[in-house]
Amino acid sequence: MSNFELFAWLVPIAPLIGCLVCAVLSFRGDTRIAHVPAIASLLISALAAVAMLFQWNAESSDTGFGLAQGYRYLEIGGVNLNLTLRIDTLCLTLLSVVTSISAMIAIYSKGYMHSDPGYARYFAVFCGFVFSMTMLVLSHNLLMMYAFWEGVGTCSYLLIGFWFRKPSAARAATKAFLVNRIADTAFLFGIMLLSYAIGFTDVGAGKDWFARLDFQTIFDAVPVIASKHGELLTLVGFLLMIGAIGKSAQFPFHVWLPDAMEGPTPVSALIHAATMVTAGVYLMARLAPLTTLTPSVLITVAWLGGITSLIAAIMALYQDDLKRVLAYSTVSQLGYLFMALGTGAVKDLMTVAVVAAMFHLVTHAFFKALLFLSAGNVMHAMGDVIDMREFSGLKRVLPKTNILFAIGAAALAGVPLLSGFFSKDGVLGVIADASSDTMVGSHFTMLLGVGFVTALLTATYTSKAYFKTFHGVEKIPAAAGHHAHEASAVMLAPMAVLAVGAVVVGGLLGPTGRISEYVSKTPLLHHHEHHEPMWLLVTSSLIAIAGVVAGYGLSRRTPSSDGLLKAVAEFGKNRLYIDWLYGRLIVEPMLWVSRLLEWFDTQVVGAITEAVAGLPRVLGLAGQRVQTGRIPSYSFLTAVGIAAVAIWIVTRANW
Amino acid sequence: MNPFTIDPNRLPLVTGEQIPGTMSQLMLLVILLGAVSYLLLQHGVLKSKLIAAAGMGVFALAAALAVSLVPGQLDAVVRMCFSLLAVGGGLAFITAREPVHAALGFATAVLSTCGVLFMQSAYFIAAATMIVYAGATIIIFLFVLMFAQKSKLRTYDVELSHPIVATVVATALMFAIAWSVASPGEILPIKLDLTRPYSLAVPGEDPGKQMPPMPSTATSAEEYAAFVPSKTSGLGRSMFTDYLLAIELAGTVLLVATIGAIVLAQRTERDAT
Amino acid sequence: MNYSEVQNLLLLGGIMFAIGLIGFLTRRSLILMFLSLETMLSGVSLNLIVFSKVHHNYQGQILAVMVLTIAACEAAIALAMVVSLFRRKPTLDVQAWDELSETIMPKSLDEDYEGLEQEEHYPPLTPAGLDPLNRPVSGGLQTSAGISSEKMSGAGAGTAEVK
Repeated sequence: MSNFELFAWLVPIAPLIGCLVCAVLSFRGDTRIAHVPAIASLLISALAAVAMLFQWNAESSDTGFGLAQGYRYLEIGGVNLNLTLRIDTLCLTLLSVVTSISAMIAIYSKGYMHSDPGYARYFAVFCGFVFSMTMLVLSHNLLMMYAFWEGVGTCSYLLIGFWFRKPSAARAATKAFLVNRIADTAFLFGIMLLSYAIGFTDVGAGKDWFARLDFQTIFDAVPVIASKHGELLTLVGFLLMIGAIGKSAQFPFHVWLPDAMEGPTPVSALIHAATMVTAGVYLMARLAPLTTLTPSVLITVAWLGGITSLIAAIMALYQDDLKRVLAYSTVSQLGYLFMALGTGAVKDLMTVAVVAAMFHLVTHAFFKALLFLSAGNVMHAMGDVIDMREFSGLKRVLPKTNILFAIGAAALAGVPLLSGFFSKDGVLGVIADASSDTMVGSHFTMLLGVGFVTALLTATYTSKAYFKTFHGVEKIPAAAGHHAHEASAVMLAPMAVLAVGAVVVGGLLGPTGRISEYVSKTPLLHHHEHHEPMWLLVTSSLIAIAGVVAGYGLSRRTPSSDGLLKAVAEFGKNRLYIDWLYGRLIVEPMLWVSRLLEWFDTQVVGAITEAVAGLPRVLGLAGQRVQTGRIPSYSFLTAVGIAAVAIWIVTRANW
Repeated sequence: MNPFTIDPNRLPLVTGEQIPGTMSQLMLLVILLGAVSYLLLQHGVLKSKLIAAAGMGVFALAAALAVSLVPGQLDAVVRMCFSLLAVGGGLAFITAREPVHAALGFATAVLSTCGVLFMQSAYFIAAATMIVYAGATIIIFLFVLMFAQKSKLRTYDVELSHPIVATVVATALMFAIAWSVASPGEILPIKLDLTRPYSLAVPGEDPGKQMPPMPSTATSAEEYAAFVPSKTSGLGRSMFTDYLLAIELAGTVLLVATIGAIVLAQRTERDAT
Repeated sequence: MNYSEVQNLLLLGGIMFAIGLIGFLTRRSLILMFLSLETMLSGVSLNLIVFSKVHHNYQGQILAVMVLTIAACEAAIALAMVVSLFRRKPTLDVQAWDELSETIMPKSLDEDYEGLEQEEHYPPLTPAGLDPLNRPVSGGLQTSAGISSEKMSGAGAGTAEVK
């Protein structure tokens, strides 16, 4: 096995082993040493990923990607389900981000989850999650990716509902899983349809239904399908898009992400900021060769992303819970990613779109994780109180967290020269490019406006949250008790690493063109030089600064009693009533149907079962009446038998 | 070579001839009337003795008619009297209210049956039946009745359990018997039973296998055809030669029954009376 | 013997058997049930004897002997059982022994039969004889037993030597 194959397999296998060891430890009820195997395995995985990032040379292989052979997982009826890893630059980009951030957050978790009874279980599921995520990123086959898609969903469910005895946590976990399930059903239909369609091309004709879904086969086959059955491909694209949207919490499916904040904060940082929710973006990026042939899908994606980012930003403005603000912020930023990907609808812009999306994904991972961990510090210090109305002016109590949160918030707001500025600029730049296209440019013009408004709102709510939490009159809630001190070093160190990343990654990768060069080495993406126009840079800087000022102003104001604003505030606080709508339209009819079925099951099926079960008793009772225990009746029956036999003999015998 | 040849003309029953099924309708009527009269005799079924007596009269008339169809030889008449007495005794036995009356009816029935047996030349069996049934059995029953019967009539003496159904079943059985008796089909020829060689002298055989001939032994086909098994000595001989094992076993059963009766009737410690 | 004779006798055996069957099925007293059994057996042995005469050999009679033997044994055992059952419950009712039952039947009555109309009407009779103490006997009648009380006390010693 060559070097890169070893590294490639090391990346997922190390967390898997860590997961198993921690699972064993959790059965033994360990609460002290479980972090050791977890952190060790995650560090190994991160090192292997980063090593591959720097060493793997895309030009060395003729196909532009490498395959690390795995083993045959299952053979069903002649179909081989092979676990093979596909490595190309796109995958390596995300992989190194995922693994390194996971390692950082694991180190942070050691401090945060200290003395929790489910300590070992936490790390077991954590490592399991990282295993599934890395396998998802590394998978060479769409169906295999779907399997690990479900895997990350399951680990997310387990982690959101980590404190499962709390009813709200259990409900949130179920909600996340169910909403994802709905999206994944569409995803599965898309996969099946694609496999079926590929079967009719010459490329896929000779292959079984699993091998047809290899990414390489898909990429080879889709031009053929597009030329003959364009509508089919569009349908497939829509279905796959729904899957991506579900996982990445975009407009119709975004309802699960804010509730997912019931889980521990490091979980929110890892899964719902940096890694899992990016899986949807990664899927769309991976299937770029497919989606370039279906522009309508991309335009839909872009609009959904735009709508999501706008409404999420509005909702974030009116939340009181710090983590919820960050959750909506994540949703909003993911909307940006989808907007960027959507610009691939314009001819020749696909590469730039993917580059922009991946760039913003990377930087967003860093600063969002940093923000979440800071919120975790605040929560830890305030005794699990996270409602911003309960505390304020914490810069004296939590000085280092103050600085780290400020860095993250500035990056998120797009303050010039921090990483968020460059990556957001990249997104807005590609949308601006797309808006000049003749056919679909009008969509992107509107989306550009949406992007600017969202950028303003982002800066506003971020700075509002920052100023509300750390500045102003110092107020500490009673529940904090003796917790109200700065976090320990083990929690601050990874945050520092992430802060460094949040600051420099943008500058290092964006303007230098490194990331665009790197990602373009992915097969079927062509290198494309792209520079953002100057007016865009200036505009976004101004927007960022304006937003920060507005946020500062909002944080100082007491809640206004103005009628219109209050109504908007109520609307935003209740999440635009989307959850309420879902409850009415979907959940209640389901409950009604389930009540009906329960009635049927108890009254009809149950009654039949009871009747059948009662039948032996009835038969027994009928037969019981013969046994009177009295000799006359028994002898009478005997006499009847004798008489019957005698008559039978007499009438039948031939003398 | 079989020295015995059966002369069909000397045999009372013609071989190979089909006896046509002539179940006399009168037989049927007699059976039915008997069943009905039995039911009517139940205490409480008919309040009026007049109707019961009328019914009995009709039955008697039917029986007399049946009797009148029988050829009027003396032994037939005597046999018919004995039969009627036996049936009457049986009916009295099953309809009587007092148990002692029932025992008397039983004795009458048994004695009449013995009379019929005497007429069939089964003298020993008749005597033994008289001694065992009408003698020993009745006496034992009367002894038990003596200590077990209350002075007044009890419910269980008078009340019958499902009389109508029992009568129906017995009537059905009687129909079957009457039908099979009335239509026997082909009567098989009477064979000299050579499986039991000892009670018959077999002339011409090895002298070691011969038994001294007795007056009742049939030694030829003609004698066999005219043979009537009436001699007790012949019965005894047949018992202890052909059926020795059966008789010995019967004796053993009697011994066991004796021991059993003693053991069962013993007063155990629990029955502290 | 012709066939009609055989037929009649077989019918008689059948009738005896049927009578015994009815008696066994309907009677409730243990003794009478066993008597019915004996009636059945006697019908069977009559049947056997008839066939013995038909077949001109002793086989039927031997079997009748066996039947007789078994009937006697059965009577002995049956009566012993009646005796031991009677010790448990002082009744001859066969419906009293119904513990091995699955159905709960109403208890059968075992009491004095009340439907008995009093048929025994004995005409009232005058007491037999005359009371010697109160109704003096007319003269001439010398009875050895009829001694008046006066004479008794006075002439007790005088009539001692009367033989």
